[in-house]
Amino acid sequence: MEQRIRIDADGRHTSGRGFRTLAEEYQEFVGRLEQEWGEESPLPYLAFSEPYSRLRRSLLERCEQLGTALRDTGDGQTIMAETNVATEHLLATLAERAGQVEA
Amino acid sequence: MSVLSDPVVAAGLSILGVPPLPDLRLLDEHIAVLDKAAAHHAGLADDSVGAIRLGNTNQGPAATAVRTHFTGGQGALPRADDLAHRLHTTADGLRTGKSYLEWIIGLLAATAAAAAVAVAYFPELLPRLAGTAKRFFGMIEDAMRSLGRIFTRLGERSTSKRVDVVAGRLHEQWRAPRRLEDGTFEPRIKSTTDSAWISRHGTDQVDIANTRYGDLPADWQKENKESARVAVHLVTDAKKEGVDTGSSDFMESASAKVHDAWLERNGEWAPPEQKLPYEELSEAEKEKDRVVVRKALDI
Repeated sequence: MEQRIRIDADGRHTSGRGFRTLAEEYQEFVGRLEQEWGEESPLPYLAFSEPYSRLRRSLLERCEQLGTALRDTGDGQTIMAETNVATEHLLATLAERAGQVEA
Repeated sequence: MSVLSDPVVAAGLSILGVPPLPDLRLLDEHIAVLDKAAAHHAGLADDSVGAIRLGNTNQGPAATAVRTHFTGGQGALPRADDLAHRLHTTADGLRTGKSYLEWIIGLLAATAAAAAVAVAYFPELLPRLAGTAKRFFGMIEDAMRSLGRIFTRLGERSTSKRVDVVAGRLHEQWRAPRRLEDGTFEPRIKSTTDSAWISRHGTDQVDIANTRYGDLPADWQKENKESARVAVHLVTDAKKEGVDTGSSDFMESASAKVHDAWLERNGEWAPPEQKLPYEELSEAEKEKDRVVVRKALDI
């Protein structure tokens, strides 16, 4: 079955900007979270504090990865939007040239 | 005011030889931070769905690829959802721990108050009260171990997911040179003994080149998964110990361990040029082990 193709470069640009804003806000949030969620263990028992500290590090690492995923999605949308626009320009130029040849 | 600051209780705890009990206020602060972070991630998941919708007029393979990337295992949406869940579970763990500690501390406080009275009027009761206090304190230690195990499991799940990601990327790297012009891969048919996979697919034949890692039978996931597991643990431990994982020293020592583990699993059939210690391998062979470490470092 033929897949329908519809291109909306403006939509992609807006989506890309949306993700970039989310990524920037999220980066600030993670910075604050790291500060507020101090390294000091809330309980002075080794059986608790060691796994808790490892989990804290693991979750903060995941936060960083999420920030990258948000930025990557936004960058991907923007790159595709620019590719779409470039393709449309190229198609328009080709159509114009073809028209000149026919004339 | 905490019951522990009551002078009678404090004196009783000292008489019973109970080690200092924790101040639970810091626990409250951590719970509040985690609750806020969990709510933020739940909101972020919604906001990111809003952002992807802005480009939803687009249709076609590229648009499908964007949506698949966004909602797939490593996409922003499942990551935000997963973090919201983990942060929420961690906060719940702390809340449960706090309730339990409050209960035990109450019991210890009552025992301590009794000891403060007993020291003056019924000194013969003190050994029994000390034994009771010791049991209560042991309950705190047991509870801390249980909470520690829960937190370890919460962290381990993330490790096992990382292992799958690395193993999946190793599979992609292996099949990449087999890619054909039509986007499929040069077939590589193998037999599997994974009974669950066989009953799902009605055959024991699998084209491992044209199957994504997640859809491979367990026996054909195994080798990449084992290599990935070794590398992910090496990277995780090194980061914990503050080792510079970007250094060539780390790359070489980790690659040597990946190779040793591979030899342990495959030594029986390995060709002579691969049976050597890492240092004596050819550069091309060493590179195979470095690739595994690099993939683990990339995530």
